[in-house]
This record gives sequence, structure tokens and C-alpha cells, in this order.
Amino acid sequence: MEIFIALGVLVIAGIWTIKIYNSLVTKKNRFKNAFAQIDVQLKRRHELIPNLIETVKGAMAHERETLTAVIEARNAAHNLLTQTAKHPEDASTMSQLNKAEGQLSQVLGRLFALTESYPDLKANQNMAHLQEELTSTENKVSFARQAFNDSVMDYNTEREIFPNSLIATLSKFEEASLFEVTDEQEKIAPKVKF
Amino acid sequence: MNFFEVQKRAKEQSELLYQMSFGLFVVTFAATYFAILNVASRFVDSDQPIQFVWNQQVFIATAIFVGGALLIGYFQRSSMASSGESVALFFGGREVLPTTHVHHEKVLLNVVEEMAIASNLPIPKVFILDRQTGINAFAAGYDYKSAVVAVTEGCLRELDRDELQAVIGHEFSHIAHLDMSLNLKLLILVGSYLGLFDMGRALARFNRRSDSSSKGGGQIAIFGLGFMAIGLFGLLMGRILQSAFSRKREFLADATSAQYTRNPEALARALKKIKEQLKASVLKHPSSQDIAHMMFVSNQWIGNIFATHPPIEERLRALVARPDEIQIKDPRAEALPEQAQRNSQDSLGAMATIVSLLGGVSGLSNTGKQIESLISQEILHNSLNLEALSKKQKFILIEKSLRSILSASKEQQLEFLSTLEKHIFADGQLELLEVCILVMVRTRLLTPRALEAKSPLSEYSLDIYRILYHLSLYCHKDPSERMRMLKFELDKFSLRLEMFSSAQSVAHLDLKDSLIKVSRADIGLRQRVIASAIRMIQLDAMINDDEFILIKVISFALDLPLSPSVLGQIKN
Repeated sequence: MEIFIALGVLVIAGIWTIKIYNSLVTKKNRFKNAFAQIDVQLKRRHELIPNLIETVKGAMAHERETLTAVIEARNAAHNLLTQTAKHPEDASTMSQLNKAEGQLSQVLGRLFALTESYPDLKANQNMAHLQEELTSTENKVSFARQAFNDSVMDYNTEREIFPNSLIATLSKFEEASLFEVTDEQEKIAPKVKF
Repeated sequence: MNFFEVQKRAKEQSELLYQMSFGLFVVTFAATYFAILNVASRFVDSDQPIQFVWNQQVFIATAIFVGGALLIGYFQRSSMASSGESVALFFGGREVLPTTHVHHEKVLLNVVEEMAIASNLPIPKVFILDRQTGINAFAAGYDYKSAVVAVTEGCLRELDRDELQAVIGHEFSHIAHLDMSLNLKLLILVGSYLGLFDMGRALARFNRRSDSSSKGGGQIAIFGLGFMAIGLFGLLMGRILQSAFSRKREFLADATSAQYTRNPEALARALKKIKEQLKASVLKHPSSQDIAHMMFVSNQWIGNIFATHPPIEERLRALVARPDEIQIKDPRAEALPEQAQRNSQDSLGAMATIVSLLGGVSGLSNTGKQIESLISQEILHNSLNLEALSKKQKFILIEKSLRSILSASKEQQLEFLSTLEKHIFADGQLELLEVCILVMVRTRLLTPRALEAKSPLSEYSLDIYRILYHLSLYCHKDPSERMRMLKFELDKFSLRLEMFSSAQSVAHLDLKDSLIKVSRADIGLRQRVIASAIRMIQLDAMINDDEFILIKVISFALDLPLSPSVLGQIKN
């Protein structure tokens, strides 16, 4: 009889452990997925910018300076993104990338402010479409960062509470760190809305 | 609102209600068991007493009855148990495909994708309920992969992008927390009580038909009545619990939407818009009551224990500290009259527009300048009536007009300016809008570019004070808060409030002069001024027309365009 009780306790403990373990794995995958999204959306943003320049080039010939600034900022950010993809663990390129993305947001902002004074452009269907796509992509980048941080927080809490902490330590579920936005400008700037 | 805290509370409370619903089921099961036991004990002979409390046969009989009731409940709801897609189609949804070229449909898809990223869920299929003009939306589907989101046509027409995002965020919470599947389980339980009630009624009727000649007939009637009573009790309590559960989940969804968008004000605005037309927002469909718990809003009145949604006022209070201060705007109200827009496109029409905005021709036509008669004619010809426009609209029209005036000849521009100044100063008063016109004309028409001379801050300290002082007047009603804000910003320029006497600042005329003076400062200083100004208007969520005009004119005068994020904020 005792052996059955002992076996029963073992089985319950086993199921319990598996449950906690799986939940930790799920939560870890969630924030990993959120991280992948940041990368995807940044790339998408870089792809959209040449189209945007192509569309406004004709109408905004007088704003060459701003257009060049946008292209340069885009290329700088794109190069850094490729580097970061190769060495995702390198914190310094990551912070450089953040800075470059912040700069890109700024010059893009300037460009959009300028388009306000071109009625032809504002009426342009393609322009409206591109503007919406860029807005959405910028939103997606910041939502992906936010989702990453929210899921990291969720994972860390799950990892720290008892008895999960035992299993987490045994199976090497390490504490995850938040995605810090280093660029001051970007910290202040709220999400892009038009 | 601390949305994580609110979420936790709503989750705990709703989970308690969920468990209570299953507790109720156990209670009904027990009640049925004892009802059967009671009746059975009367059938058997008195010398062979039935074993009370525990009786295996009675237990099996009860299980069959209750199981049957559950089956009835399940089949009643089986149409609801279908996939999210078929629910959306059933309510007249039309799927929005990623290949769409319609702008607002593209925006909808983008917003859904954004929320999918924010909630870390797969992207669901998106449906539009055409011809539903109220503002409403629902999510359907019983797991993450098959979930769909549907919005009404009115949702797309009446809400701006942020508000739409907030509504979609709310629906994503229903998906993320598997609310459809939890609600379905509770509804099946409620359905089973109805099944029990129906079985009881059938038994009571069967007894009447088979005549009461036999001894057992009366017993069966009592038996049936007992079932009916248990079923009715369960139905009532089950429905109350399920509704309470649903209401708690709505609070959870609102808080989760705030977590996803980090923009509870947008959700509050959407709710306020719906509040004004609540009746119209309820889905027009014969079966709409079946999915009431899945909708963004449903028909309800305060204190109704069967309502699936809490009253909108309560939801607003949970979202924002001061719901009364949230202002909503009809996106179409901002549009300018077409006639006025066309007029402002050529230089003469634009001049006429500005003069009309300043009160018409009465102040004109005494110096005999050619431009005056031209403008008078133009005004008479177009018979512009711009009185009805809001301050903000007037300002936008002035901005447009100024751009057109730039195409006039230099002489004409100068003539117009002198006429304008005479006109504005004629009544001895200077209103904010007039200040704006003067500043914009002066900084743009006369000196197209600001001088980039490096200039010491001390030269501009009074001007900076005046600009920030005026801005603070429009930003805050509360004088002490206003002073605190002003002190804080002056500190950024190493200035102290005590350095200025308040008499130095109040006139609008001074504001005009100061803005023109600062417009010629070097870029570094101008950037600092506009940064302060933006901080000041962003201090509270509301940006009224005066704040809007002032920030725009500062940005115009300093020749520093506002960033899109600031623009977007002040446009709402």
C-alpha cells in the first residue's frame, strides 16, 4: 500500500514539474519571438524608405538636403542592422543600432513635416499609402519592443516565484534582460501617429 | 491606470466567478440526486427501506439525467461552438484580404497586425461587417490559430487610427485570455439547466396525459415539478454568474488593451463616442444576443445583473482618472469648407480670406490703395462666410492662405501687409489669432529666413519669458500649477521667475514682438525654445484650440517644423 502512495506522490510531483518546465519554455519562446519581430519590422522599414524617396523625389526637388539625410540615415541604420544580426549578443552594436534608428525616425519626421506644404503630394494615393505603411511599421517596432519587455517581465516573474525558482535554477533558465532604448531622443518621443 | 494591477484583479475576480459557476453545477447535481432519491424512496415497500444518502442506482440515474441535460445544453449552443470564421460569416462579415487596395481597409489590417505583435499572438483573419453603422467589434474563435476579429463599418468610419487600435486591442485581449471558450463552457452549463427544466416539464405533462389513475402518476408529477424548480434555480443563478464573469472579463480586456497600446485615452475616447450612440451600436442581427458577450459593447443599463457588459461610465472610470475631461472629435468636423479651400489657393483670394477672417471689409477702403479695392471686390464676389469656423479651422485656413500669398509680387505683399496691420490695429485690441497672422506674415513674407547670428541668451531672456508665459496661460487653468510649470521651463534657460515682473508680459502685442525677435535667434536657442513649448503643451492630455494655434505659430515663427509624433498628438 505504502509503495502505491509513494508512487502516486512521485507521479504527481513529476507532472507538476513538467508543467512548470513547459510553462517556462513557453514564456521563453514568447519573448524570443517578440525579439525576432523587432528585427523583421526594422528590415521592413528600411525596405520602405527607397520607395518613399522615389515617390516624393519629383515633387520635392527643392528639399534635396532632407532627402539625402533620410537616405544616409537609412543606410547607416541598415548596415548596423546587418551587423547586429550577425552578433546579436554584442551590446555595443545594439545600442548603436538604436541610435541610428532614432536618427532615422527624426529625419523621417522632418521629411513628413515638409510634405505638409506640398498639396500635390498630400493628395497622392501612393504617398498616403506609404505614409500609412511607415507609420504602421514604426508602431510595430515599438510594439515589438514593448511586447518583448512585457514577456521578459512575465518570464522573469514566473522564473522567480517558488517553487518554479527551483526548477528554473536546475534547468538553467537564466534571467532575461530588458530591451533598453539608449537613445535619449527616442525615450521622449511617443509612438508615431499621423 | 496601472493596467497590470487592474488586470490581475479582474482576472482573479473572474476566475472566482468561473469556479462558482462550476460549484453551482455541483449543487444542482446534488439537488437532482436528492430529488430522485426522495421519489424513489416512496416507490419501494416500507419494509425494505431504501438506503438513504448514498445509493448507487440513484446516483447513476442522476448522472444520466444531468448528462442528458448537458447534452441538450451543448446542442443548443453547438452553432456557437463553430469556428470563428463561420461566426463572422454568419453575422454578415466580409473578409479583408491582404491584397486590398482600399486605404481604410489597409489601415485596419495594419492596426490588427500591430496588435498581434503587441500581444504576441498570431495574426487573425479580419472581417468587416458592412452596413452595420454603429461602432462595435467582436472576436470569435476558440484558440489562437482559428481566431478572427470583426469590426463594423461604423467603427472604421467614426474612429481615428488610435481609437481603432484601442478597440482592436480590447478584442485581442478576448483572444489572448481565451474568453470565447470560457464563456462557451459557462453557456453550456446554463443551457443544461434549461435542459433539466424542459425534462421536468415533459415529465409533468406526460403524467397529466397518462391520467392520474395509477398510484405513481402523482409522484411523477411531483418529480417533474422538482426538476423544473431545480432547473429554474440553476438557470437564474447560472445566468447571473455567467453575466458577472463576462463583465469582469470586459474590465480585463480594457486593461489589457491599455497594456498593448499604452494609450488608455484612445480607448476612453472610443467608449465616449459609442456612449453617444449606444443604441445604434448594438449589432443589428436577429442572433446578436448570442454573441453579446463577445462584442466590444452591448445593450445594458446600470445595475442589470444579466448584462454582459459593465456600463460605459464604469469602464471609463476604470480607464482614466477624469473621464469627463476626455474630449472626442468627429474626424470630419476638422475638414474645411471646400469653397474656402479653393479661394485660399490664389494670392488674391488668400488675402481676401485673411481679411474676412479678421472681421470683413468694414475696416478697409479708406487709404485708396489699389490692393484694398481688389480685396473688397474679391470678398463681395465670393461672399465668404467664415464666422462658423472653429478657431483651429480658421488658423489652418490662414496657414494655407499665407502659402498662396507667397506667390504674389513683393510690392503686393508689402501693400497687403500695411493694409493688414492697419486693419488689425484699428480696434485697438489684439487677439491671439491676430497675433498669429502678424507673426506669420512678418517672419515669412518680409524676412523669409531667420538670421543665423550667434546671439547671447541674455538678449532674449525677456522674450523667452513672454512666449512661455503666454503658452502657460493657455495650457493650464490652475494658477499655481501654471507657475510651477513656468518655473521649471525657465530653469532650463537658467532664468528665474522673479527676474520678471508680471506687468511686463501680459499684452499680446509684446508676444508678437518677442516671437518675431526670437525668430532671428540662432538655431540652438530656437530649438531649446520649441522643446520647452512642446513639453508645456504635452503636460496634460488635452490640447485645446488655443494651445494648438500657439504651438503651430511658434513652430512657424522659429522655422522648426514639429515632429510627426507631436503633430499627431495635437491633431487629435
